Amino acid sequence: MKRLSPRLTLISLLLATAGAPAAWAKTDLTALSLEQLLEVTIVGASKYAQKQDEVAAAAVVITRNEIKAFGWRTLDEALASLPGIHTSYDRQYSYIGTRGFGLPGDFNTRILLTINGNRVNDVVYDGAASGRDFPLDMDLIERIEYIPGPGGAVYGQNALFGVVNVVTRKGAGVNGTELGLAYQDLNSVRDGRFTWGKKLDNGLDVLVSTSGHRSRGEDHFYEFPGASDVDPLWRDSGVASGMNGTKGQQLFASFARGPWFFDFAYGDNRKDDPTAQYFSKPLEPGQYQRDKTLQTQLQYQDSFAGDTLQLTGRLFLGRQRYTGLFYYADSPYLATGSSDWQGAELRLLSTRWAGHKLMLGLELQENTRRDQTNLSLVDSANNLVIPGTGWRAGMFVQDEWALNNSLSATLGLRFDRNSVTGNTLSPRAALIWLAAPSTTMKALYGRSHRAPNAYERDYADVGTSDTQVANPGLGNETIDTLELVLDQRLGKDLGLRGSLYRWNMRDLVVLGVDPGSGLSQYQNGGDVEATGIELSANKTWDWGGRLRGSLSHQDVAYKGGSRLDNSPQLLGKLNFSGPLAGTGLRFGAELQYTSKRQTIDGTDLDAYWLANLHLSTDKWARGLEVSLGLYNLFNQRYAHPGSDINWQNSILQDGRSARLKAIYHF
Amino acid sequence: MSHLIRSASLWVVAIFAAALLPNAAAQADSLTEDSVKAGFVFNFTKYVEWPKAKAGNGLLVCSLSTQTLSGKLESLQGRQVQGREIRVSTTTRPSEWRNCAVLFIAAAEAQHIDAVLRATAQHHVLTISDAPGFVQAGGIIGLKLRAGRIAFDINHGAARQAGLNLSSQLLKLADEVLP
Repeated sequence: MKRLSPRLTLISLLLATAGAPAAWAKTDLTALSLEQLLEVTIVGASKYAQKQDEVAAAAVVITRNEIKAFGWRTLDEALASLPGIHTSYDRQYSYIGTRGFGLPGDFNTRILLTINGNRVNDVVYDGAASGRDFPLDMDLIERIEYIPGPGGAVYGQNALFGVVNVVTRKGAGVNGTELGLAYQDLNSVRDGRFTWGKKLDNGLDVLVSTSGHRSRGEDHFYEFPGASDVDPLWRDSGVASGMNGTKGQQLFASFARGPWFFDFAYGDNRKDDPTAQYFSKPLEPGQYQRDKTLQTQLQYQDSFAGDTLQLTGRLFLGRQRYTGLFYYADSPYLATGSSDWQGAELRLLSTRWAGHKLMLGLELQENTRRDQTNLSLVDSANNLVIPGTGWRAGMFVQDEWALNNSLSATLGLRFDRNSVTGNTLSPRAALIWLAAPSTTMKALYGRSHRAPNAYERDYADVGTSDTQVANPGLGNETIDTLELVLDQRLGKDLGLRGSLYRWNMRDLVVLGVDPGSGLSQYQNGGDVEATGIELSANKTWDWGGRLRGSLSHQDVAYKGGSRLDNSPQLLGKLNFSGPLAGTGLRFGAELQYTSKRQTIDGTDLDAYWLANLHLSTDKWARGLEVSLGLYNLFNQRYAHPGSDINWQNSILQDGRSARLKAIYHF
Repeated sequence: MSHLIRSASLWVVAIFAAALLPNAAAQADSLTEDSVKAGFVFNFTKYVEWPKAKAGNGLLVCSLSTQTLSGKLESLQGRQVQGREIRVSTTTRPSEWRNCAVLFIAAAEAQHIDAVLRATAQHHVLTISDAPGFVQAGGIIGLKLRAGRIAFDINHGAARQAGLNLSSQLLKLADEVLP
């Protein structure tokens, strides 16, 4: 795939459009279909949209309808359908790779994940839970907004490769009670959910929901190369029997009335560990990793001064508790990471000056606890306790400046200060040109920073396990991104997008070796350069069908020329959904291609195709939705790279599975 | 990598070539909120089935004042939809509300919503408004601004009560459908 011919198509299309402006000159909005109208961006909108949507970028939205059509079970499955995203799973956590970047073992630290604008990334690991540990049930999602590219100029910390905002359903949308049950054959996964929601007569919108999941998990064969050298009693391979279970629950509530909005999300997920992560004792039952996440916020949003000033205020609080139980030669250890954070955010948006949308924001976050421990359950002399606290503050200003009817510029700058790395500036600039009613072009530039997290900077176990030393001098990593985006509507119901980007990461925080001690240490190591192109198309038909597909080519390498681990060069996605005529069924068919990925031992994992098929109906009985999902339809055998905390160089993924699900609404 | 750089340069050239060609930008109409909303109103009529009683030759699209959607509704006058010609009535009096096939109530006219809904109930009138909370109040289609784009909600129960048949395609495209 070294020569991408769609490129030429797009270019000729660009020229054709520009050369024949007459066709677009007279804007007849009645000539546009409903689908096209839904895509039209309003110039001079009277109300300001949520801040996520304002970011000039190649943003994509996944709606609830799509989540229902494709039967995605976790957040990472939904995101995997988008251009340029490749996911990984190590039987413990799910990892989201973006635009060729997805270093094994990176807990999604370079993506900002938010629920209704409230950040999920914790303050010890910077982790963004995207699998079963994500604290929100997929059935409570109204839409997922994905804004690829650097969001640092507005969002600060973590928004290096993109921002994922998950918007929850409202009580009015549920309007009653929902009961959900699901069973999947492979891994024996059982899911249950109870949700109640309503907009009450006094105007209060309420939604409360609780879910639980449990799975037995299949037994798999794993290699533990070198384990018998560590301890002669340890085995170098074997079937991990009964060590792949999962159980967890989730709680969510939201209340909205007038300008006020409150939400609360809690999740608790425990995954048994068959892989003996962190080089613990192979094939030892009872090893697990557990994540408890709580996050809540109170939001106030209102307009003043004849709708020209919009104020958004937010108070937020987050708690994250990680525990992992690992057996080593001498004793079992309980590893913990505890994050407590709270803060406030204020945003002002003014449309007072004609042609300008001026946004001003202030964000303060106090991390009252960022503790890491490694506790020996036998000998407390081996206990490791690394306490910490911290804070971060950010201030940003952004202007969306309409230069004329068709050209607008977005200029933004964010200043951040934190207790770890001091001051940073994150600028962004974008030029958006509405070349014709059906053609938009964007040129985007942005810079983002990430301060190292507590795990990378402070973790040290010298004197106990002797694996890692701290690095108090660890600095920020910085990414610069340049991107050109072309959005083109073609005829009726066909949308095309081409995006060409280049990103450049400096001082990437990587695990290296401390020359003094010879132990592992996180260091500002790599400079990475990447060039990529994403082409996507979106077609709808009058009969209700929808097809979206994308092709991404990404070239990512360290400055010296060596390739990055877990960085597939080519990704293809195809998602097709619609009604099956005459049956009352809806189908969602999904096909994904991922090219070969390099593992940490330098070898390549095979490229693979993955197909999923989902059928659903709500026509069988009033209030009843039934669906059947077939995942990995062709039983493709494929593996994902392991990381530097795994015995395994690669981890085999699940084969075909079927899930039956029913939702009853009354 | 080099072919990507080549493709990058091609892109840049293409984009700037497009930018330098005259007219394209200058002639692009500014897509004002009101004209897009009028486009939505027109499109909705394609997805709604009115009972025989309303199936005359013309399709009457009404508003309460000439100011509604800055008069953009009038651009629909004379257009064909479902083999019928649209007629636009701008300052529709309360006694005529029930004769409309489509009745648009602007957010600025929200004080009339209750009266309109009472008067048009069961008279096969597709009520549309951009006033917040319209579908919750019993209106059929509510337009709203979200993420710089227009989206719409549907009160399916209200449509059924009005004796209107909404196509599944329309329901699918809606942001929220109240049962």
